[in-house]
Amino acid sequence: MNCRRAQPLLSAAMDGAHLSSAERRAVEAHIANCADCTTFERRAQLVRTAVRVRAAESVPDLTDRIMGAVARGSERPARRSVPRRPVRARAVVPAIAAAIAGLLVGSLVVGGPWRPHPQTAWASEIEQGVRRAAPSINAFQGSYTIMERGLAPEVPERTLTMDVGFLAPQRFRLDVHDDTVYPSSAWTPTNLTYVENMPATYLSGPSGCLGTMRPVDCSPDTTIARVPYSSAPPLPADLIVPLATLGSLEGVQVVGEAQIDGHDTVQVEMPFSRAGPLFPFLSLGGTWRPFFADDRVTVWLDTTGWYPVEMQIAPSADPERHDWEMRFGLPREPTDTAILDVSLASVSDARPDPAAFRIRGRDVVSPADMERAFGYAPAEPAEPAPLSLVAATAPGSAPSAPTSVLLYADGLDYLRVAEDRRWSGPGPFGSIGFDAEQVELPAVGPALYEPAGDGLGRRLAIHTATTDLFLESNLSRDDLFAIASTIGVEAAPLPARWSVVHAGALTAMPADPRASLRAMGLDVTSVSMPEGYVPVSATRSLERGADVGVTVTFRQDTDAAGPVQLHMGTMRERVIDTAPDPERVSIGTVTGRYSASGAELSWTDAGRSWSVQGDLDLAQLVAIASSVVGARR
Amino acid sequence: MRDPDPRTVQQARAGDLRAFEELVRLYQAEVFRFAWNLTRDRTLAEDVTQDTFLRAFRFIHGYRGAQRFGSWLFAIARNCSMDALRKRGTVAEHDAREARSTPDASTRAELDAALAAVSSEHRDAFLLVEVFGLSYQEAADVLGVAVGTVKSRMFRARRALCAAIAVDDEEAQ
Repeated sequence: MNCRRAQPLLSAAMDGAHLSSAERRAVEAHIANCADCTTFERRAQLVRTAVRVRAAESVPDLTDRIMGAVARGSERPARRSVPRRPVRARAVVPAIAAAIAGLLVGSLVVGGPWRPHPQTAWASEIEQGVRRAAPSINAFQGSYTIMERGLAPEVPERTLTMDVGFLAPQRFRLDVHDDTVYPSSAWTPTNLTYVENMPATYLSGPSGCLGTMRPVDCSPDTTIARVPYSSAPPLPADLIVPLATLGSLEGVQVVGEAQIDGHDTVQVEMPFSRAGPLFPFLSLGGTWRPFFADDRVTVWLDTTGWYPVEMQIAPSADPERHDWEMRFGLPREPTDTAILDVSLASVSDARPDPAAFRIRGRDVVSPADMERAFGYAPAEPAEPAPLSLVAATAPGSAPSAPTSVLLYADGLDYLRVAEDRRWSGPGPFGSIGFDAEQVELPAVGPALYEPAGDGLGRRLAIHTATTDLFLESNLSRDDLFAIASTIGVEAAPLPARWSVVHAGALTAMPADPRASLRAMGLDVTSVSMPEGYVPVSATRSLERGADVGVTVTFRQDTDAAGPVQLHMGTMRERVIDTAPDPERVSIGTVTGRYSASGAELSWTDAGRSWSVQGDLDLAQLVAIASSVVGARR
Repeated sequence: MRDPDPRTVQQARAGDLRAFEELVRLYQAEVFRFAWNLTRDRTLAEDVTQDTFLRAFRFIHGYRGAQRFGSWLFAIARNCSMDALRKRGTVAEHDAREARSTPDASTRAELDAALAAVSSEHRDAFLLVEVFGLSYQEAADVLGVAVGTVKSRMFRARRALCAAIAVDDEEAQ
């Protein structure tokens, strides 16, 4: 050991980097006899003190200024349906470039080798099983063992235990206890507690610290958040009945049956990108190894109770994953070894202690007292059955909260009705996207509907002259619509400004889907969409007032699958090639480019650029493209 | 840096302005401090903070949680700071008032001068790790470089700063 080697190691150790015990011993032995390194270490500490102990800068509150700028119309986030083809290399403005970046990353997750698979007899059994189980469950207690491999070279394997509890109505708890023996105190164990007593949530964990690897900077169990209101579904619900993951088997492969620890199970596989709700603990903080969108998740599902008995994640062999590994300096991992294994140790339907779900400061309004507490009579569905009202709350005066929230539930099934009497945002109230479908609710009027996605359930936004409503639920589309139709408000047409997006010189606005097809020289019957897909919405895009493109979104009437989008654009200049992995495909007389990661097939024909994008296999995309090319001949 | 409620991020990704506002409240102080450290100009740091969140709002649909949210935001803030400085046509200057306001003014002034003298790459790594307490992995995410690069930049910055305070240190010894 010499100074040239010792000082970088000293520096790294100061920052919490792990030294091997051999390195540590060698450095210590060297410093003991080296004045230069002792001086370096002392001065480095002086520098640390000088930069950390400084007069606190006063920090301005810029919230209003920032939110004002965000709300001034042109900065809605990029959504999948913002047209991409009209953008020409020369005309790229930053906002559009950003939109494309968002589109690309967004579409990567949709892609991958998992395509709709010929379903076995089990498929409908599973879908119906989880659907039926959800409302029937009133209590659940499960204990699991979690085994994780490959967090870091010094920590090749970790074992944790997890407990999940549910008590109707809508009370959830998830605890993770880290049993790993770490090589040094520089590692913070991943101990987590998450409680959801709707509408409030409470989360405590180790990651509220300054610098995750430095336990000295914070107590190991820092409360991260108590959230008065969130419109997302309850996090641990899919461990009890995987309704969000397996309510529709699109993109899921049924592998077969197996006996696991005395449970009769059915084995299914899907990509990690589709299995998020099954691993809620990964997003709750603490330290976890990375997983990748196309890593393969295998789930063994109890065929009586429909809860997961075992879940494994194995690394995929996809080149995309390899790029990630390179970027993060990770070793290549064998695809036949699970890197995460969650195994059910015990399960029971005994009622957990209600005290376990208590959240201090949870603010619940009694149904009899709602009008006084909210200052108005909230819109209530007259016929919520089989659901019933279980909680009401005014989430507080924070500008980021609705003025009232009503929660309806039946077992794990739920519906939340959030209302805002002062909504003045640039778009619809609630988490509903630009490509939401406009629907007509009987006895109510126009509403925006968005299927489950982005971690949220099925959503409806209703705008009236006096109020704005946002409904979110894990019910089926038909059940949600039936209950929403009894809500007793008269919907007003949606303000036009809500649906127009400006991004630089580009303006996108909604259009009639069938008229848009005609503008493309097509009609519904001339496009060979897979069974059940109908045009539900369309976007027209203009650049400085001139038409540059039109996109029609098709959805399956059962809304079990993701959307398919057909786009036609003018092609005044070469389009930007955004696909990382294009493949040449023959579409009748023209040649197209297929990007598996973008799940997109694009081609040019008679001075127009075309694309069809959606979670379909290549043959289905080619069939659509061929019908479009043929119909325009 | 704290992590946001993952669902707040999901909602913001879905276009929910209120959820995004929560993220603004949670992170604006850290982003401002970071921008101030990079620009050494209060007004510019405020502009950078606003610009950072504007860009974050446009890009948030692409944020998939591969890195911590704070690291992702810092990466944007760093780009915004660079753009702002480039637009203004100057690099960050040492602010004399800051030096006077700290207890150990002489050491502080030397550190500021030394920090201004090291390359911006080394300075940024140093700020992220030493001042903002990021781990090497998080700093690597912000800077878009390998962990080993952060480690060596940290060491070089530290060595330069140690040399800068050598006189003070020797006087004190």
